[in-house]
Amino acid sequence: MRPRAFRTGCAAASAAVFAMLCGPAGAQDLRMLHVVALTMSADRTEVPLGSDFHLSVHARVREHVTALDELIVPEVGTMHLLGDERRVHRGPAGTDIDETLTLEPVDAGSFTIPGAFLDAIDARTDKPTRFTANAVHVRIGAQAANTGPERVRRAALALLGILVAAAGVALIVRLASRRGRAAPPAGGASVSPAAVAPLVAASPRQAVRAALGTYAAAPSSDTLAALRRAVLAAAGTAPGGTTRDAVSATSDEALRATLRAAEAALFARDDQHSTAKERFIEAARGWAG
Amino acid sequence: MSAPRAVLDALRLTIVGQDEVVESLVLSLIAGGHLLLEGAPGVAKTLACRALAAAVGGIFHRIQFTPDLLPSDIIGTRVFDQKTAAFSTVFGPLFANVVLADEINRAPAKVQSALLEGMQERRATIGLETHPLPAPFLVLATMNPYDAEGTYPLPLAQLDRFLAKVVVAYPSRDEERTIVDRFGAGEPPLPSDVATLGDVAGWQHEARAVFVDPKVRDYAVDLVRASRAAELVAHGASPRAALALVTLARARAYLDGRAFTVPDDVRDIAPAVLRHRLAYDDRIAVAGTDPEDIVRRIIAVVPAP
Repeated sequence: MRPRAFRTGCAAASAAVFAMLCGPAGAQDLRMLHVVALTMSADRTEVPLGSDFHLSVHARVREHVTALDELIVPEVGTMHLLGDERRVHRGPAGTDIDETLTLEPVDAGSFTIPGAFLDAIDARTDKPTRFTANAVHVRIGAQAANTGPERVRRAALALLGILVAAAGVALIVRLASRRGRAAPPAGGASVSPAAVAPLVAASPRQAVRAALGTYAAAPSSDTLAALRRAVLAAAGTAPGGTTRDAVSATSDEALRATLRAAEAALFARDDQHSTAKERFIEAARGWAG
Repeated sequence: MSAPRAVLDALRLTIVGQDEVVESLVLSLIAGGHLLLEGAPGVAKTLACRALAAAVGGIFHRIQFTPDLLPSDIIGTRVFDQKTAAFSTVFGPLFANVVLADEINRAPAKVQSALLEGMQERRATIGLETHPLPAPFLVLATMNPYDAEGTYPLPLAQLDRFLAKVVVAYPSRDEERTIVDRFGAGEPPLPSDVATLGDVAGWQHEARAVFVDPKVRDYAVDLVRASRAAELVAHGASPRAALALVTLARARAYLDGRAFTVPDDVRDIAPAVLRHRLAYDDRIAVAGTDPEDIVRRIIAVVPAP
């Protein structure tokens, strides 16, 4: 954590100097990183003049790092930088870096703050890559904009929007459940990947059922690998994990058996594949229900 | 033919703890490669090697490397027999099935290269005659990380010839108590009649036939390539490291009774294969980074298939 306050001086100048010092480096200087997430958000998108707001940057890398100096925070124009706090949290899934800038606008108008970025060798592709967060839009206006009847009208509209969105999600989940029950248990050639796609995020068992349906519709080594990934994920393993990771992460014996069956189906010699695949599919069906 | 698992079990009855060391010894035997052992004195490195040789009924020789050692001291020499008025060959301790090269970094480069040539070529030249070394032939070299004053560190090119490097750690408190109980009244008998040299040749032949899926092969290659781009690494692992990964993955699958390798085989042996093949840049001392952490990071960033 490094709290700082710069009531004087312009944040743009400090950001520009920082960017010059730490700006895009040559590929040979870059660190190899597996960047899982890089996002940016503001706690308020409409800020009256004279008050401040927080701009948060979140990055997650799979590596365990003590610092992420490659993370460059965006230039904030003429806004005053009142504080800058960075937290690094190392957990089993990697390292989370949260940086929060406290900003005070000095001019009214609409502003687009460009996304924070970091330069690294992408561990997935082995290539130098610039990872960029989303931009954030803020509207700086007079204090009156957020008070009185205007504020009530905006709150009512927001509530209406939330209700409509919730109704839509409920409808999709209901439709998806019906499709899941209607899916044939074996050789479901009528199930297309598009039809099962909404099931993926619902639950681990539904995700495995969806992957089973995709494999049944189009059997291939890719869809079989996708099915194994779904089983690994069902055990709580992050992408790129192994069977041992998954087996140690779950106490569900049926799921463990499915994981072991998946290994033979994916990695055995061709002449042993067909039997191993059948065992895997059977085990996956048995677990997913 | 007995199974290699029997050798593993027999070694575990003799050696207290040190599971990684014991398994690595058996894997090296199956893979037909040489092993580097690094650890403090008194952590059962020598005992493990003697037990391995005894378990497979092989000839065991130990060479204590010292600064005054000569190549002929390990390979052998030609001596003049006055009775027959002819030269005869006296074979050195390199002619054995299991050779323990103790503190290999204490001998000068000429002796190291004589040993390493034998490891690579599996034959030795004495005078004008070239003699094949016995099969199986396994060199287990130890390095003591302490008292490094006056030693001759092995260059990277020579370290690369070792299939793997295992770090022999101190035993846990419970293990240390067991050691005192087990060895306090004298050294227990070494395992014997567990397997034969013919069995070992059979294992090596069968392990070479273990299937390696292209996805597993690519994973091994990706790990080696990631080592070249890793932070604080001046020189990454060579293509020989990828070969070593696949060879040991086969051996591990065979030891587990599988006819195919899986990503876990590669990932489990990756630290032992990579750790002695990386050269670090000077910043590692400034950063205070443990080289083992760098190896772990390399393995962590490469997703398994």
